Amino acid sequence: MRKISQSFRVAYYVLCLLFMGYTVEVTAQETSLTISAEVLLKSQSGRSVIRSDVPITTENIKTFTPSAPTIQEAKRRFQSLGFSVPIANTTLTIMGKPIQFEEVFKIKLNLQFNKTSNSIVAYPSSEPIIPDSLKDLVEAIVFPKPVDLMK
Amino acid sequence: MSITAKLPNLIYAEAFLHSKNSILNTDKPITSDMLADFSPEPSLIQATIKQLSQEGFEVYPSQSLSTKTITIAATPAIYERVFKIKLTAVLQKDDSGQIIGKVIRHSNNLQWIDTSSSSLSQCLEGILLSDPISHFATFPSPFPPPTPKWCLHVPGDVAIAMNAARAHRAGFTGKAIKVVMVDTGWYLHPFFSRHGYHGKVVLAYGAQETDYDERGEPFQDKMGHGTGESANLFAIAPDIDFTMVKHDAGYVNMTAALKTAISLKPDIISCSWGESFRSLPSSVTSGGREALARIRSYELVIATAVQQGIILVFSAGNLSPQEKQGQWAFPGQHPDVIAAGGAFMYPDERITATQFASGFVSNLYRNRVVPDVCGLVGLPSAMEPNFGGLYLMLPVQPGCNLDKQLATKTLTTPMTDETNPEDGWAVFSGTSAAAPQIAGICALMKQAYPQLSPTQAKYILQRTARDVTTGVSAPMMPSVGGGAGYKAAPGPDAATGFGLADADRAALMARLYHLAETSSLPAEILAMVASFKRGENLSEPNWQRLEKERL
Repeated sequence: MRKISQSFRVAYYVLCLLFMGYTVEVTAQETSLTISAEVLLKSQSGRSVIRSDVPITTENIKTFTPSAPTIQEAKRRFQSLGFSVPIANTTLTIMGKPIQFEEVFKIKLNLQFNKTSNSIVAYPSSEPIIPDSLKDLVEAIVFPKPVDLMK
Repeated sequence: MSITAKLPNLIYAEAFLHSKNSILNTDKPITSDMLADFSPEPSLIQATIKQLSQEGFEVYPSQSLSTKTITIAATPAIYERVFKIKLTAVLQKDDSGQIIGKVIRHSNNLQWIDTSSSSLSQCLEGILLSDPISHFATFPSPFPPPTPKWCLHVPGDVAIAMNAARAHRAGFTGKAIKVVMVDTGWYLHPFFSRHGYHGKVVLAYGAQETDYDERGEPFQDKMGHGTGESANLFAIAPDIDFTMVKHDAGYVNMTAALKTAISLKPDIISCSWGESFRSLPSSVTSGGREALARIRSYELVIATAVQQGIILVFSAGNLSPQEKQGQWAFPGQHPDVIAAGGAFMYPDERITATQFASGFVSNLYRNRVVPDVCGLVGLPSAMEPNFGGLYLMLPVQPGCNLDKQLATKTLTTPMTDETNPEDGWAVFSGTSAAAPQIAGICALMKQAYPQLSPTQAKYILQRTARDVTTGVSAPMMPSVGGGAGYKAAPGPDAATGFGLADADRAALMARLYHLAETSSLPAEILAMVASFKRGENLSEPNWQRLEKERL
């Protein structure tokens, strides 16, 4: 009986590995991989992007976009905090080690490492806290989530 | 032509043992009467096997002790340490640019690895790294494999079914229109080169890659999705200026990938992916606020791109195997994008809605019905509803995930696509296929009318589509259509939007828009264009007249 139970357990783990694409949880200290996040900047008009109760479309986009100086200054400040900023326009894409994100935004990241794709997804355990040094420019930090291919 | 590539984890080689005469340095052919002169001592064979094993090599000796060589395998690091060499991997291409194999090169000037300065110098006279398998025939084949089940082939069948073949004959091929696809990568399959299709690959911001070709482009598509879907795009618009933005391997930061695509200043972007949002997340919970911020982040990028005049096409969503209902695709439901849904065409050209494609009224955006128009999407199988969409035969990187996955029977997928798991062809056709087909039609329209705006593109696509009046789209939730999905009916509906897109009529109308602005059209034709712009349907005789005259 015990052997049967063990066999089922082994089969279960094998199936889990197959279906989950060899995903394991890692800590920020354990991984050298970088993660990225999107930074939503404060708009030029003062209208909040995340508190908006209307969707953002071509009809109203101008009221939600940040000014060019805001974009440049935010880029500079994130770089001074050790993040790389590969693209800065409507939103900022910032990249860095998970530990950097944890320290700067005072959060704990649940990091799911996928061995098959050698990629990592960060799930914050709480809302990122924008540090005082960025509060005048940044409205929110968004950790992206994997999408589905519509194959 | 060679390209630097990643070294394999394990490298195979033949190890040549010392014998009375040198095998590697002989200039004479070795025949059976000379074998004794080239045979190593049995004791040397045993000693060599032992020493190779001690150094970390896997050893595969011949059954016969009179063996002249020993097959070995080890990691690149072991070869480099033991023989004091540096290894590099290069990919070889044939004259047409097809990758034909990976070759390992070493820093010795000789054809073989010199062992004289290694611990094995007393045993071995040299090591010959194994050559890659050369395919005397083209591999993968540019021709799709025969399958017992009927399916559509690219480019011909798809071009006919989308009515693009006639547009091609009229000169609309998407020439010089910049189309970017954001997907898993683009493998240079012989299918593309033999058809004369061209493109390049750009890595998305934040994505990482190990294998690059000589142009500095990542050339692998280990999933196979982007390669396959791009064939749908070329089937409709063969002369486009194509770029694949390869997103990160975990499909994580797609906003960054989309921004990469926008930075290339294209005319059109095609995206066959998304998340499912049935309703707007609540801002009361932390998770809800996070999801809402993610939606707003996409919205900012999408609205900015469309405002710049870029036409964005997104898939409308598929039947989700996990949830047994259609995906409420986002960004597919954003009002600024063209949502590409699915319709199925039978061999006799009957068209029906398919339960493999989503159709819904958005809860995120008021009055937004998804899809706008349809491309070709498969029907779910009665035998295995979760494994539908076996409709389009598409080229993929040989042995990639889709090639293997779709060709392999498992407990959850008892059906296969009836191709070989390593042949570089796979059959798949969700709304992923519809998006590039619709993007291709946009390219034809843009060629016909360079000033075409995203709003005009959607409008013309909708008003020229072929109405689909039968069939049902994917079930969305119990309260929608009794849980069965929306029924297709005469006129626009949530099952197929305005119907199956018509490439020829869309390009023709775009051309008339252009001519109406730039030259003097006959008054009667001008009146037809004006009535079309007002939302009035052109009669079939009027369409036939326009098609006949081809102004």
